[in-house]
Amino acid sequence: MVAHQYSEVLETVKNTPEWRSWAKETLLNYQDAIQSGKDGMARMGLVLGLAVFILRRVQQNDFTFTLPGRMGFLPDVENRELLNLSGSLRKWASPTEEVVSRVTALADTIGPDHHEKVSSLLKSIAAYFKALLRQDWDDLELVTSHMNLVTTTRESGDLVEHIAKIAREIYNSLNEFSEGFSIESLSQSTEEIPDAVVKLNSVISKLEDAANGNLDELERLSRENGEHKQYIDESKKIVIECIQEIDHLAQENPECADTLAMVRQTLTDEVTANLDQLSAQNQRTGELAMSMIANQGFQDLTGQTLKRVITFIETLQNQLVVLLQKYSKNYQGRSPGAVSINREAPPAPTTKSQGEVDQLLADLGF
Amino acid sequence: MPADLKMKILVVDDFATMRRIISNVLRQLGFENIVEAEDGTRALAILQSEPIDFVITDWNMPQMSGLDLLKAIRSSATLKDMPVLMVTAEALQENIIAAAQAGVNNYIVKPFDAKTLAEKINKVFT
Repeated sequence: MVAHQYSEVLETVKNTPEWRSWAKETLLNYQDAIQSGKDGMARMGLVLGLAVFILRRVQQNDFTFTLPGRMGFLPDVENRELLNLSGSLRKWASPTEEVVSRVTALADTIGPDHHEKVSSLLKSIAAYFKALLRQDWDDLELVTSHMNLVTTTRESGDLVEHIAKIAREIYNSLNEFSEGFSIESLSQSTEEIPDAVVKLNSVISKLEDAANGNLDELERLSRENGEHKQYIDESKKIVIECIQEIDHLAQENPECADTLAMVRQTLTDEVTANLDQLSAQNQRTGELAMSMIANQGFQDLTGQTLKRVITFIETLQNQLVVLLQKYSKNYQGRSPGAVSINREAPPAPTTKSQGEVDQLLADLGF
Repeated sequence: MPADLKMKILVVDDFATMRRIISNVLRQLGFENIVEAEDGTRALAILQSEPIDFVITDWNMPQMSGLDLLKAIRSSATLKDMPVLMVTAEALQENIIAAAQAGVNNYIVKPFDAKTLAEKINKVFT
């Protein structure tokens, strides 16, 4: 009966292309069998399937699984075989479950290879169960030692340990997250988000008002500066005309030439010089006003940034509302509305300066 | 050949402040013939309805972005040779390359000053 069963299982393992899913199913069946204490005969086939599966996995992927080193789990009382064996196997359930969880988790990520080695191990497993049925403990120990030897490597042991550590860290992190997760505080935060968005929009509006106010004043300054320039230019023309008139008077009135020469000197040295200085000042004021006008672009840049933040916050709010609706029965929050997301404008982690842009443009042939 | 001060320039930006700033700087540089549009869609409508000599456009805009406007201009039989200057805060390398591939004539990063704008305009028309 048992021989028939394990042969059948062996053939199944060898021939089925979907051995992964079969192996998973076998593992689950095995657990059920252990826990419910069903008939030992049937369990033997399942144990075989489990062993085949694990050893195949082990050999294909260097994944460590150490079979029980000694025969401690086997019955001490002779020939109460399967009944006592069932009891022993129950004790083995816990470590087996651990292996089952590890192997199941890895089953989807590791591919089947190394068929020759698997075939060799299958023969060892067959020998293992034959020895078990004969209750030939020496032979059983020999076969077990052999399988342990060929299926255990230090590297694979390290791998399993590493995976287990990661799994533990994830588990702990999830636990910590659950402990710190407060539906109430999350709900309160969600309710406060619209107010935050209104405030940010208000900041945009106030920045725009301020920038436009500055532009109004700066445009007025530029206009007045332009008018001053006209006055200065006209004054320069008048001075030149005065000088010409003085020269003309000096020619017609030689007796006044000395006095007129002094007036002319004053006009050229002082009035013209002052007008030139005013002209330079006027130009600097114009440049300064233009620079300040250009600097009002801060409103555009900060406004764009704030709009992105608002979009992000609204998206986050909708996701939180969905989360609350899903996990908090008492939450009566509003339904998440459609939020437009500016997908064209992701955060710019590596923006370039004008100099770098110019260099890039030059590289592109500009 | 320096830029013609009489040419008609279309300034495209969704921020009214920025349109005002660019127009101011252009006027300071001597350009008086300036029209404005708040996004690419409106800009395209203006381009199809009146003669424009030069387009200065932002990148990020609702309805139609500056890049899409540029592509629309380059794919139009009547507008394809229009000089286009991109004035934008999008100074990412991939954006600059995308604009260059789409046929932009030059690219200026916000914030900018009058001198930089003048230099870029002169480069476009040289």
